[in-house]
Amino acid sequence: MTAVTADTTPKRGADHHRRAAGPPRSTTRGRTILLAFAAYVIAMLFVLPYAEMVITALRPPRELNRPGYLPQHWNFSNFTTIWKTGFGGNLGASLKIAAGATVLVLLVSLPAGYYTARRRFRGRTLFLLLVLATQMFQPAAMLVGIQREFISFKLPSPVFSLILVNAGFNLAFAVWILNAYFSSIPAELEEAAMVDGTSRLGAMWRITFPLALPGIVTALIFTFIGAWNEFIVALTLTLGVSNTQTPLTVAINSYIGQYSVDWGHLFAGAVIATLPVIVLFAIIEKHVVSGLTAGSIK
Amino acid sequence: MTTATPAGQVEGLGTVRSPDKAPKRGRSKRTAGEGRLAFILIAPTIALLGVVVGYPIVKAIYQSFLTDQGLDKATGFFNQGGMWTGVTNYKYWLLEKCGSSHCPPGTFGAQFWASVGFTLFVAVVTVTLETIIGMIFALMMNRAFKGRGLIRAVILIPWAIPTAVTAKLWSVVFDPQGILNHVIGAHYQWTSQTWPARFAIIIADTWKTTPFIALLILAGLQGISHDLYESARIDGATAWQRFTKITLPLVKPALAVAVIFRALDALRMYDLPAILTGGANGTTTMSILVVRQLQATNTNSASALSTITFIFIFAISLALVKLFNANIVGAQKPAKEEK
Repeated sequence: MTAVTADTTPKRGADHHRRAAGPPRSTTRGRTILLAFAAYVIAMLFVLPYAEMVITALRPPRELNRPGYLPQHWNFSNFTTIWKTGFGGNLGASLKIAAGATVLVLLVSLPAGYYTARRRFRGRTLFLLLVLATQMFQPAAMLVGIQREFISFKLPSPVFSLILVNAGFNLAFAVWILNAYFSSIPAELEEAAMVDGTSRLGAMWRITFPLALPGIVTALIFTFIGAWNEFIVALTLTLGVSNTQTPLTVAINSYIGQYSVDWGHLFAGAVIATLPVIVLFAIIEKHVVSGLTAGSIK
Repeated sequence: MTTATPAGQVEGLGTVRSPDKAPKRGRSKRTAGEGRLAFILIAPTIALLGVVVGYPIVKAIYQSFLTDQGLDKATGFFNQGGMWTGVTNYKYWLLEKCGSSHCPPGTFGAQFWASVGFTLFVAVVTVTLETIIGMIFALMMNRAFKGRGLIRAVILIPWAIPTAVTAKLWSVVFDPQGILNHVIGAHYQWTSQTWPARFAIIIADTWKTTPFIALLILAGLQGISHDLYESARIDGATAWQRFTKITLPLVKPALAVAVIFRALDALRMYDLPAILTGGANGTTTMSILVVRQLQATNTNSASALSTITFIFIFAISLALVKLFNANIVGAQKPAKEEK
C-alpha cells in the first residue's frame, strides 16, 4: 500500500509543476478529466430515480411496502406478463404515431424554417408569433374542438388522427428551432456553392442541411418524444377503441386505478416505453457528430 | 454581435451573420415567383396548425362567451346553457365574482389569483434551474471524454418517460415511507405540506425537463468552432470571459428557443402537480383549475379560463422574445424596406 502511495505522490507533484509552468494543454486535460468525473456524478443523480423505477418493477408485490434499497427476491414476471395485456399492440400504435408525426413535422417545418431564416418577407414576424401562439393554449381546453373536428374527418383509425394532432402540437418548436439554425448558417456559403455551379436546391441539400443537422436532429427527437408522451388527446380520441390498439401512455395510465395502482406493470411498462427513445437517440446522436465533421468545419 | 463575416471565411455554424446582409439579393430580385415560393413553403405549416390547433382555439374562445348548463340562480329553472353571456365567465375568474357577490372560499373562482401566483412561481423557478443545470450539463457533454455518448443517452431518460409516470415515480420517492426519507433519515410529509409539496413539484419537473434544455444547448454548442476558443485563449481571455463573450452569444439562438418553449410548457403545467399533490396545499396551477372546471362540465367557463391563461402566456412570451432579442423581431431592421 505504502509503495503505491509513494509511487503516485511524486508523479502528481511533477504534474503540478508541469501544469504551472508548461503549456495550457495539460490544464485542459486535467479539467476535462474533472469535468468528465462531474458529468458521471450528475448523470448518476439523474439515473437514480429511474433505477428506483426499475427496481420497483422488479419487486415482488408483497415486498412493495418494505423499506430497503433492493428487494430480497427479484421478480421478473411484470416484464413478461405485461405482454399478455396487449402491450405489444400499444407499443406498435405509439411507434406508428410518433414516427408518422415526426416525418410529417420534418416535411412541413424544414421548408418553413428555411424560408423564414433566409428571407425577411413581410409578415415574417407575424407568422413566427402565430406559430408560437399555438403553443400557448391548454391542450385540455382544445379537446372539445379537436374531438368534434376529427369525428367529422372520418379518418380510418385514431392512429391517423393522432399523427395529425401530434404533428400539429410539435410543429411550432420545429419551425422555431430550424429557423434559429438556418439563420446561423451564412447564406454566403450557399451562394459560394452556387457560383461554383451548384443549383439552389443542391446547395441547400449539400451545404445547409448537413450544417443544420444538429438542429434537424433536435427537432426530430423533440417531436418523437412529444408524440411518444402525449396523453390527453390520445385518451380522448381512442375512447371506445380496443385496449390493445391505444398508444402506450393510455395503456400505462390504465394501470393507475382510482383506488389502487398496479405498480409492477406501471413501472415495467414505463421502463419498456423509454427503451425505443433511448435506442433512437443512440443511433441518431452519432449522425449529428459525423454530419458535422463531414460537412463543415475545416 | 457585429462580426460581419466575409464570405468564405466562415468559422462555424454558430457564426453570427450581420442581419442585413443576406436578404439583399432576395429583395432586389423579388418577383411574383418569390411570393408563390413563400406560399408553397409556408402554407403547409399554416394549414396543419390551423386544422389541429387553430380551429379548436377559436372555438374555445367563442365558447368562453356562452353560459354553461346548470341551475339558473335568478329563475331557479334548469338552464340548457349555450346562451350568449358576454364577459360573465371572465368576471368569474378575474374578479372572482359569482353572480353579484364575491365567490365564497372553496369555489374554483376564488382560487384563480392564487393559482396564477403559484403557476408563475413554479415556472420562473423551474425554468431558471433547468437553464442553469442544463447549461452546465451541455458544457460538460460538449467535451470529448470516454463514455460521453453513453452519458448523453442516459441523460435523456427522464425526458423520455411519460409525465404521468414521472409523477407517479416521484410520488413513490416522496412517499413518507419512501426512499427519500429513508436515505436522509427523516419523516417529512413531502406532498401534503405547502412548501415541501411545492419543492417536490419543482424537483420532479427539473429532473424531467433539464435534459430537454441541455440537449438544445448542446446542439447549439456543436457548431462553435474550437479555433475561436483557442485564439481567445492565446489572447489571454479567462474561462469566464470565453463563456460570456463566445459561448453565450453564439449559443443564444438555440438557448432562446429552449427557454421560450420551456416557459410555455411550464406555464401550462398540469400532469405533474395533478398527480403528485392533486393540486392541494397551494399547488393548484392554472391548468389544474381548467381541468377541474371541465370535469365539473362547466366547459364554457373553463374555456374562458383557458383564454385568460392564453393571454397571460402570450404576454410573457412576447417579453421573453424581446428579452432574448430572438431572431424574429429584434434583428429584423430591414423589414420596412420590403415591398
